[in-house]
Amino acid sequence: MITKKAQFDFTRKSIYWMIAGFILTIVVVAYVFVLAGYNSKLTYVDPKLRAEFLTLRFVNNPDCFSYQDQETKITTSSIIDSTKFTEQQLYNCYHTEQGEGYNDFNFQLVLENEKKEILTNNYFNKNDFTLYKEVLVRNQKGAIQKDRLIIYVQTGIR
Amino acid sequence: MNTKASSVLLMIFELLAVILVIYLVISISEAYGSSLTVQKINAAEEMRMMIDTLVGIPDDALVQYPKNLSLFTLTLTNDAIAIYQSTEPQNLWVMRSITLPKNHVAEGTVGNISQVCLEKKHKKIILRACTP
Repeated sequence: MITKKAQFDFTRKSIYWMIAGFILTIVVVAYVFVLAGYNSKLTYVDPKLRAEFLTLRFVNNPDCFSYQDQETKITTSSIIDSTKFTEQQLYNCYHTEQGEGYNDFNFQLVLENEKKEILTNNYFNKNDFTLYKEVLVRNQKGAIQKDRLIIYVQTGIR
Repeated sequence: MNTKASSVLLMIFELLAVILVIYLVISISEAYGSSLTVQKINAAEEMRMMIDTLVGIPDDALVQYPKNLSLFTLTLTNDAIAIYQSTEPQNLWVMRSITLPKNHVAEGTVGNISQVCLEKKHKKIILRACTP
């Protein structure tokens, strides 16, 4: 036969463990979040740094927009061939996956004086920051003029 | 159930709960705090930025990764760079996607090599061991 005191003790312990279990769960979850945050800090890469490296190709690589002499095959950095400044060429130079590419870096490129703009395939006007590059633009006739390449960077839509 | 039996049961339950919590905390700490995981992630990010830099260079180039990577195997493909330990399952591999311009290719695998190099030759980016 269970006495009244024993019943009370049993109930009291059960309530204690319900509360303790709840608090323990919160502590463990909080601990996981703190560790995850610490891990992220240790491996954080500034998106601006990554964007700087990624966008080097736009002004230096002849498979992107950089001018390359047809005879000597010499590529001159920071000279943009205006005939190459098209969306098709940009797609050949840099594109993201059709399905989930919005999670990755996407760009809107603007040649300020030429008033030309092109977008990568998953750019949705969510501009996170902007990079500027002083360039020379070579037109079809071979004339070269100073310009500024404005690169709007969309780091990802999450 | 008498009082003594119920209190022994509760004590066992308390002990089990404490052991479970300690085990969880230690295993989670180990998983998150493992310096190898951090090393893999940082190496993958740095390798990706080195590849982006090589793509952004008009000519050929050779660059040596400055840290010792002898604990890891690295695999470079056209789509990604993967860093892992040869014995670990694929779900623990650290992979970072890369995007190359058309006509460019990337390839190479190195395993447990301390000095790793990335070379750009024409339109090909090669991951290989650095030769002295």
